[in-house]
Amino acid sequence: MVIPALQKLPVEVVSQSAPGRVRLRVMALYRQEGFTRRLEHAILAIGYVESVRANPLTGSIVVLFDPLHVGHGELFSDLEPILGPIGISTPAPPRQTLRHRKALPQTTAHRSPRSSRQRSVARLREDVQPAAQAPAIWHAQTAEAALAGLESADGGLAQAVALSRLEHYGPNLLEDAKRRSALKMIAGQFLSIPVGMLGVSAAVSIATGGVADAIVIGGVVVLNALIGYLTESAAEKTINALGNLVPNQTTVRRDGKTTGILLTEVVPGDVLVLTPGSYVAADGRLIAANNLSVDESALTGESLPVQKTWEGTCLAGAPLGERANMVHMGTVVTGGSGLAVVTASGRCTEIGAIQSLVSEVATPATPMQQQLDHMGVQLAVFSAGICGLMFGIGVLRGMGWLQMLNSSISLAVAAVPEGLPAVATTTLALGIREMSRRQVLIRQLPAVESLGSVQVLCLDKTGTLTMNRMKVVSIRTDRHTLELRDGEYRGGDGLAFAVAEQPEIGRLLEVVTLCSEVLIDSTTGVNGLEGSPTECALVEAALQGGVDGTALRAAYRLLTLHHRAENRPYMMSVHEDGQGRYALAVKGSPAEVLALCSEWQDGDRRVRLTRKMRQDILAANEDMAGQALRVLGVAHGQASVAAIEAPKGLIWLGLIGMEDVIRPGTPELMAQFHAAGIETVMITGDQSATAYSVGKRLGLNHEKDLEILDSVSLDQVDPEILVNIISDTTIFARVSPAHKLRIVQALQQSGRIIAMTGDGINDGPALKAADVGVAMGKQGADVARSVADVVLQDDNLHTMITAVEQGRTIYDNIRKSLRFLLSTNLSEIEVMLLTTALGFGEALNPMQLLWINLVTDVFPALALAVEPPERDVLKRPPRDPAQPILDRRDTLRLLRESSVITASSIGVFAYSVARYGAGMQASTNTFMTLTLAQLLQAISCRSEETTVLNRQRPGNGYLNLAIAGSVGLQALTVLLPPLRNLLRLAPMNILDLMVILAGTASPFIINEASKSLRLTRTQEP
Amino acid sequence: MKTDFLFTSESVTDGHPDRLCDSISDAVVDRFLQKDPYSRIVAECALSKNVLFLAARFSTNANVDIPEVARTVMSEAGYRPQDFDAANCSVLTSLITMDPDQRAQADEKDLSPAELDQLTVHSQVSVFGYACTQTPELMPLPICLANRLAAGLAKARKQRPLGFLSPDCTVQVGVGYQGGVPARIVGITIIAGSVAPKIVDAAELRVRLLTEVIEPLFVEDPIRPDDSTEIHINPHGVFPKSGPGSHSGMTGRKTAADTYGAYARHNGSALSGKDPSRIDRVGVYMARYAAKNVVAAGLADECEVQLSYAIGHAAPVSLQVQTFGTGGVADTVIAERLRQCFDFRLGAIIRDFNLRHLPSQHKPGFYQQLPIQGHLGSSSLKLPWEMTDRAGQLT
Repeated sequence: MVIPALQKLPVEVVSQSAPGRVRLRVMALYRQEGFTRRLEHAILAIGYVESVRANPLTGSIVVLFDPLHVGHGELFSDLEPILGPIGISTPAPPRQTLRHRKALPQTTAHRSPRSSRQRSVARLREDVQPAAQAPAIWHAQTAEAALAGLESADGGLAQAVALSRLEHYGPNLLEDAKRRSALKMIAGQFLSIPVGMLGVSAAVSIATGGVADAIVIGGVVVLNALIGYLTESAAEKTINALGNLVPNQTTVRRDGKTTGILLTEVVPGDVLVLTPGSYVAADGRLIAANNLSVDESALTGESLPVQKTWEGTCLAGAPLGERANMVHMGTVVTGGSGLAVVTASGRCTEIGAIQSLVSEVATPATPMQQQLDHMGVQLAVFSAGICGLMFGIGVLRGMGWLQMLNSSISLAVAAVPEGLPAVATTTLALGIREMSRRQVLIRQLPAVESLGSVQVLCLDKTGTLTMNRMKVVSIRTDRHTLELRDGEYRGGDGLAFAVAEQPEIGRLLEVVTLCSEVLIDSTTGVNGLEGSPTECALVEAALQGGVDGTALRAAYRLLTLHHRAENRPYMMSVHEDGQGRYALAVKGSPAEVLALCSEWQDGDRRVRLTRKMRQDILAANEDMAGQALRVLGVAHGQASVAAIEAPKGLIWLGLIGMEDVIRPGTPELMAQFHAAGIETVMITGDQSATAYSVGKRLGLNHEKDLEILDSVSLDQVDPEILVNIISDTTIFARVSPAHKLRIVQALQQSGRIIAMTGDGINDGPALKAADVGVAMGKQGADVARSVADVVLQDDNLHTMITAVEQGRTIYDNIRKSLRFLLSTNLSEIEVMLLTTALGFGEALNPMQLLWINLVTDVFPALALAVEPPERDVLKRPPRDPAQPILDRRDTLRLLRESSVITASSIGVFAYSVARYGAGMQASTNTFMTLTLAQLLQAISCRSEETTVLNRQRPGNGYLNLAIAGSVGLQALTVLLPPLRNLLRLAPMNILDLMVILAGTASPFIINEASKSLRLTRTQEP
Repeated sequence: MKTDFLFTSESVTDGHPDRLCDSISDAVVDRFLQKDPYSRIVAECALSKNVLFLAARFSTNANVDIPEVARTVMSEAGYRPQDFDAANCSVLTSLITMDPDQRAQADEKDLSPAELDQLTVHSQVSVFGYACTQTPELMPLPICLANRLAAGLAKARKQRPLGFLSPDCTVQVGVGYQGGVPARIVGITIIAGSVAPKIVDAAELRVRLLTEVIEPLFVEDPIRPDDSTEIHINPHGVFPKSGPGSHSGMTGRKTAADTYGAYARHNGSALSGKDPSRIDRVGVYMARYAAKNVVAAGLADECEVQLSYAIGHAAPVSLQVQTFGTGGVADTVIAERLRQCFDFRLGAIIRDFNLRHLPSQHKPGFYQQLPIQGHLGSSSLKLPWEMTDRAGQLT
């Protein structure tokens, strides 16, 4: 491989201000993976150098050395044999000039002329046969120059060359996004405000002589961190695994042959074969392209496919999105075909560079998580305020300030729901896992949330609502109306019909066999057909009608095939009949085909088409279309030349009607979506009448009027008008896949959350634009899967309703955890604040507060995250995404519930104070009451819609376990003397126990009763 | 009563967006009745730029590809695709399906008189019919001339002598009356766009319109443009664009041109897009039939018949006749004779005019032709309500 002008690339000093540290920019290093490592070794070999860090992406080397023994000058002279002449950086070249070789020499001052020593960089490179992926500006070169520059050819590399290059350049792999290390994650657990406050608390404890307290606090911190780390790392593992759906095979040319190789084996110089739907395996310069369009959204964010061409050159400085002659790794071909010679692979690709620049991939926060984070901050400020207030009141009341400080801090720690982020992350992760168990693959985390708020579901008719399989059901010519059922033809009278005896019908069946791309295998017959559903159905009907497809095709040799295209609503094939004449076979949109005809086939005769005949044919077409049939017109003709672009004077044969089979259970499924408040919208390329009939059969419109938008050119409609006219549209008819994006965007502009299913190559942009893009797992194209947020692995739309249910349940469950955490923490604040304010001293000591925090906060909240779905989860309208996770009403309810718990705890406290006086016994009773009441509150938080008395609600084993475990721990505080002493608990008598139990049960009963009251009140009117 | 005055009436050609909407609505009615004569169907459209909104409410056994019907009508209007692309424009249909039980239960021809009484109207409406002796069709002269001019423009465009004309033209004719009788044509104004403005200049356009459209139309007429008739062609200059691309249209906005050019009363409701069971459509035809026969019988030179229908009644609750002082007999006497000779019940109107089956008998459709050829006073269509077959009975 030639590396043009590399030897001339300069070395310059970027920074040498710190003693013992030098940063150099070595142009030759840029994107030279293998060279970098050799260079590092070579420099390390210099005795006094302590470490070397070379970065091939920035082209910089940082050398650390012992400054006591040598100065910079000495280092430079030792480096020069390795690197060549070292210049001192004049104003540092702007970053992008790295890509412009020509600009570089002017910005650099050479310190000394070239000498034999200074050739050593080149020598070193030759030694290592470096994995040089030169920073050449391939898009500014012609295709020929690029091919030559990469020492490749149209036929691709020789296998041997490819193998040796693979060794040099390394596998075509992107660096795995660096995960947060375990250490970092654990450290993160300690770097929080509550932990900091606990530290202060421990210090205060030590200052006041409570060493045991300090140890306990330390234990609490470690335990909290441990729980946090375990849940977070498990969740992050699940979440980081999202989105890895890159194919592992790709097609290249090697030795002149097209062959499939592993994606990792692609090397510079390889010739990539690009076809619709294929994933671009590496960066490449196009050397051939036919109508090639590429979805570059993964790289540039541009959601519309970009047209590519192999001809011409781009400006050297052209931004990534405008390099029309380049294709880039990670993008997907949406249409056309092409060849590209690989210019860079692996980390050296554009996407590799971007990925390497992002030092760490943080798990993106979903809108809900952001909301929770925001709320967490607010709560922290709020509780800090309350604690300050308590501290003030306590000090005013004459309590020791150190003691008050300790209590306040403990309260603050207890009050901040530090479990909140963990609960949200864990709930999301568990939800993703549960969904994947049910064949719903989540690829983007925010999709989990969006699934719960989907308002409109756009459905592809073909393949999703119907079976993607067609069947010919009727044929109409002027004389006959035939039906095809179970492979048998029947006439209008219902009797069996001999197709072979009718020349025009036989001819019609022959034409559809000739004018198709279906592969016919004469041994397997009807079952062995391969091709598009429509054509297969047609050929199947022909074979059933007695046409010998193989023989027919042999008799009429196919010359050219004109596909249906944008401005040609029919398909035409030209055949040679063996006697030097040319036969035309045409099928397509009935009106358009009819317009090409001047005669019609009447038995063996040809008769001129009258105006009335044409009207009759069109009426028959409409009639068939009205029966939800896909109708094609069939005609044939003759020509004297083979090169025909626009046929004329054809002979009309008849209409052929096909039906696609609706998937079983789909109408019921639509009703389920409607019950869940989700509107269903069908997008189809069919005629209006067909679409109307299918829509009617599916019950798509629910209780609305059926609105159909029939348009082949949505792009010509003013976007604003489109937004307004489609707000109630149920069916989009005659829509080309490329216009789906317009539909999705227009629906979104009307302010709704859109889910959209798709599986085709053209669906990519629309899937990406939709709030929830849903791709089919098996039959879908790579591109559809790679941009989708959700993949239904079993290709079954019924799974979608499960996904919605799960999405909603996850949100519900996070709300439940939130409700539990907030109501219990609020009650702690209220108890402490009130007792302090009333001058009864502290109801709970700091140790007890920390204990409550440990026992009640995390585990029940986590267990609430796996609550089963509410019974009405699919019976209520989708949640408004703009609505906050807790609204005013929720907040009021939280306050009410917490105040009930507070009231009962204070009641127990008051009773105890009255009986025993303020002190250990009162504090013990209050501690017991508050802890147990909080655990019961967890049961109450299981549902907002059902009370504990509801028997139909499935149980939650985890919650039972969490509560039982917590109650067990609470029992230990009484039974284990050391623990008892630590928490400073007094023994209780039977009466105390009764009071505690009453104080525990009453808030639960009151809160459940008020829930029940609210439920009956909302049900009655 | 005024005797010397000027009156103007306006009309539009077939490509005018309002007209196009009327035609589409009636083509939909036709297609439903062709496939199922007992269909109930109401179709209304709005057309703007390249979007057609079509609302239809129907009860039928037929399957109709409504957008396809609309596209066919629109493409027949003859716009160039770059001006208005009928094949590719967007058609938004809003369909309300009624239970097929709400179709007509039986053919009105098979119903007994008692059963016809059970067939009551569904709308409350007063309709007016009018006829006068100003033209052979017994129509007011201004609208008659305006419609003829519009038809002449369309014909000149379709038959190519003036192929460059836009399908969207408007015409106004002013007629001067003396002693209550049309005396002369005071003015003619034509707004005639051309599809390619550079083909003819304004002067040439004027000459060609005068010689090839206006003059031939008046060859046999006693009243024709004279030297003092003001003829304005595009007085504001030629519009650079015409048709749906430049202005929008709706069903039922050309009711004046559909009826008497505002010369006589019309209750204002649209005629197009309604099946025969709608009394606000067929009542207008019936009232015209009655009035025309009165004038044809020589009972008056000018006659207005008013029919008021109320929901729940089959026959009109009120029938009034006014002859504006031209009657040979008293208005009340004429009204009485009408009551005796005509059956104004809804079912009878449908039966006598054969309204359910006319669309099947006319292959390109029956109602579809009315907006262009004229609902009333058409000379080219043999409309049943334009017959004067009952005149004899009235005298």
